[in-house]
Amino acid sequence: MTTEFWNGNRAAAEAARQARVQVVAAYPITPQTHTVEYLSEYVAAGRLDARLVRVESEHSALSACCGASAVGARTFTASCSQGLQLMSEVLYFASGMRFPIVMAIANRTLSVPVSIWADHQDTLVNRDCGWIQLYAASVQEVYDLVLMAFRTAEDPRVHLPAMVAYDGFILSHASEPVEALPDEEIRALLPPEPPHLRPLLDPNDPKQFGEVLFPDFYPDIEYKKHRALEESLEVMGEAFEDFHSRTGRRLSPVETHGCEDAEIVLVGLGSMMQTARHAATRLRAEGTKVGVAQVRVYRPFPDRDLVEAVGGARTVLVLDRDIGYGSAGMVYPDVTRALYHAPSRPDVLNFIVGTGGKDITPKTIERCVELGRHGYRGMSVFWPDARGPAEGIAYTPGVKA
Amino acid sequence: MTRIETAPPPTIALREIRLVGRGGQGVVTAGELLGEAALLDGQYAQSIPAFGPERRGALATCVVRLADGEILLRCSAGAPDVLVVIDPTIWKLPPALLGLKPDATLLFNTTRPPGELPKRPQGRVGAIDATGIALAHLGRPIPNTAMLGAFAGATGLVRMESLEEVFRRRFPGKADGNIAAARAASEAILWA
Repeated sequence: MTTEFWNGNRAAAEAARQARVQVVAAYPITPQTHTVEYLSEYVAAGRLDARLVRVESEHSALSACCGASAVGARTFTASCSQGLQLMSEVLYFASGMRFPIVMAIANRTLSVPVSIWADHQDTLVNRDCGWIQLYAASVQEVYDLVLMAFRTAEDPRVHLPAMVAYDGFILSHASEPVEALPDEEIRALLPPEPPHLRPLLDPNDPKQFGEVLFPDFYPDIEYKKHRALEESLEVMGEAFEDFHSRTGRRLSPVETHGCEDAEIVLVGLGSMMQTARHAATRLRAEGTKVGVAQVRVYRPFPDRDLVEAVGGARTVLVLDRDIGYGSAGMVYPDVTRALYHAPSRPDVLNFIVGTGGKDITPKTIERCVELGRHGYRGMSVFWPDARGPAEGIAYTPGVKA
Repeated sequence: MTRIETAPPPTIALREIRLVGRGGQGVVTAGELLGEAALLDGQYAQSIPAFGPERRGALATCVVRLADGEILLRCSAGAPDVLVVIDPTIWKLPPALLGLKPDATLLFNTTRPPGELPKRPQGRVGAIDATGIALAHLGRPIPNTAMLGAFAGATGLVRMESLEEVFRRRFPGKADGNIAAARAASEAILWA
């Protein structure tokens, strides 16, 4: 293993190179563009034997990936924000036809107002398109999760596409030490020619797929797709175990820090959960027992892991770097749904933080904990970053207690 | 990446360095070079650039954090211990000076006398003609590597040998000029 000083885009590109991707089709968009630029450099330098398909839009990029995946190629793309939205239609084709495409996403907010900075709006509005969704909290995780995404997506028990999301700029452009594996190790982790990646499209064995399905059979296919995504959690667990034995790095669907005896547990996605860990250390030193649960696998949603992580905490604070307009943050309903059935049934409050790249500092986290500690019932969704009414804090009322 | 084992690595608590310049001056590159050099020293490093959709000539900043162990902070705001201003025209710009620690060391690429420069109450302020040094050693007004040399000389937070090794890796064939510029700058700091 070597220690490199990589940014998130470089880590994603290196992992894709080491996975020996055969086809890459992508369209540039800030802050993802470097990922594909790095891959084109590798191809030009002879470090990667892949076909780079230049396309005129993201819709075409993912369509090209679908075609490549249909002939059995290991396929990779990258996008975010408006680009991901333009792909939206094809996202469902990829999962419906069960193509194990892997996509790196340098999270960026959706327009308008125009912003190039990070939040999770772009991937979260696409959470229900049948793709596996993984969220990285560090550059190391970007690298690790791209590898795990290929491994899980291509497993014959899963056969679904996977997105690896990492915060734009905060991770995509930030450099930090990354423990990289040697190429041979990746060859063992991701077999060169998985037998199940045999071509679906074969001139000698013509068949149709992605066809019309009448109502009688539709629910069967939907159920199978849904179950395959649910069951991918177990397959991913096996991949995480294998990865741990090879690298010593332990990955889990929900990573917990200090949750065992916590009174308040912070739950959320991405890099802000590391800042939350930083803040939690100080809060603990001051006597507030705070735990942090970083949801790394978001689709399928790891209900059981989350319930275990929260344990006996009386208050759960869900940090959403997004907003489901007219409802709450988008991670919040997943957490409340899982915890409704938990033995402890904690209070669950929601905080909308860091949208449009607003800096999430330890102070932001401390503010959330301060508000959460008082357990304002009937004020379930807080906006600590927004300019609020008289008392200085913006919130939406939620259900009155 | 092989570490340079010439002396024990400096042991430091979390230190924050803010690099400020304009798009095109190598601010982001400077952050990467500094982080990589610290890594060679055996420290943990993180480099987070911040710039907008505007390009060449616009304000570009980069936060570099150094520590003995893993850094969990993922924000760009902080309380810098050191400010390195790479562009000679932005020495008065308020955003560059926001949030600095009261004892922060300030290093400016400027030909102004150091007494005219902004200063923190308990901190030092140094002036370096990094653009002049870059022109002399590189033939181009790219002052980022010279300012890194000044940073190493002024703070000791990164070793000059590590910077030089990173220049050799990053600029094969062109490292010598950058090394000479960095060394010259480290000895050309005028303190207020």
